[in-house]
Amino acid sequence: MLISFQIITTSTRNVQMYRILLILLTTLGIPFIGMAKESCSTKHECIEMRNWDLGVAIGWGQKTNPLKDFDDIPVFFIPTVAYYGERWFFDNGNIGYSLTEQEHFSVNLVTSYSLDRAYFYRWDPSNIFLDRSSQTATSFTERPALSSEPEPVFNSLESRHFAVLGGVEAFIYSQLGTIRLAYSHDMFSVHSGSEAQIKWTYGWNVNRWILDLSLVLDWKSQNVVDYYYGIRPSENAYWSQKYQASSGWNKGAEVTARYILTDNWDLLLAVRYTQIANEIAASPLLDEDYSSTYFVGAAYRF
Amino acid sequence: MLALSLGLMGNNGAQAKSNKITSLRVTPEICITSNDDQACEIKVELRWELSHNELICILSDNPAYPKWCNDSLNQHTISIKVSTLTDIQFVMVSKESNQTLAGAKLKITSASQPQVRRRYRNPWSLF
Repeated sequence: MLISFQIITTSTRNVQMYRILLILLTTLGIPFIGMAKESCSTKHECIEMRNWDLGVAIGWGQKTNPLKDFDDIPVFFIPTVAYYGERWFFDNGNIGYSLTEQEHFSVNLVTSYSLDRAYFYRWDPSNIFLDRSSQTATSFTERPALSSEPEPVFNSLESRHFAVLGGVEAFIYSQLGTIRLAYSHDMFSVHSGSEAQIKWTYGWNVNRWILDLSLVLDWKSQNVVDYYYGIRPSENAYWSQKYQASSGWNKGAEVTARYILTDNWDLLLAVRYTQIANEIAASPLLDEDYSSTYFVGAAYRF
Repeated sequence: MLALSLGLMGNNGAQAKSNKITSLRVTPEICITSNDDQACEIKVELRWELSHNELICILSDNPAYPKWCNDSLNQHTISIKVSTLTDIQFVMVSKESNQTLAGAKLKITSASQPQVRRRYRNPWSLF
């Protein structure tokens, strides 16, 4: 029985890996439409090719943690690291390959990583540059007794591993802004889940101000939600049965404002608000159905 | 005050001597090309002054322009056609003693703008 279960698991994983490979190969098989010579117009949309773009923003901010009994996360500095070649690029942890770059659209193969783990772990890559001073994951105790259900008191949480996602993203450019459509899947069978994103960004460039407003819809598959926000039997037997994860859409808005002081120095204000999907907020691990972040500081680009 | 005066006198003395300073000059000093792969093709003039008149030779670090020596004490310029992708360093030496007298450099720079492409992430997306 155990053997057959393992075979089924292995088989399922193989099917998923083949599916990813098929997606990648099919996409790679599409004839390259080409790269437009003028694919960006304003300076802040562009990056110099074959040259590292490094920078750091220093200031003060905070990221709220929707997980119960986890501290909010102070933000002291934010790095930016990017390198763009002819088609390959590395940008703040994402590796991409541009299949085509046209005046009105681009298509990239791209990797990303799940941001949900960052709520659980101080040393998640998303948090390396943040100071999470007193976070602990062991004492889940209080919850207002809204019903007759037992309070969600958990034993030590099991590991939520880091997941690298791989997929495709498309950008559509118009006078009404930029739309990003992305789909990605867990590449190494950590949770075997998928994520998708629809993001609209509109930018203003007025005198020395650069403003970007984004509205975001983030979809997370049932596997992703269950892996990060589901309850394991060892954590709480009752709630592992009671909470059944399902896919959901996070909704968010972001504003980034930069005021150019010199060629190297900007003032930076960044605000983000994410309304967490009801399906995720229903998890007893959470006591807030949102996460908000702000940062105010000065940014230096080398 | 005395030291200042002596200093000024010293400067004047140096300026008086500067008319006889040995020098080599290349004109123009900079050649601008439209891109990195394009050779600079230009006619440059080398002009020299000597503290005491003597026959000289001019060498370069580019094998395409071998050693040239003058045969007349009255000649103080030479024009050469240059085709190069890189800077050329010219050195003037004494024809008699082979001692280095002066140097000049022709700099090659590209006017091409750095290649850019669209950036797909907000620089501060890690926030």
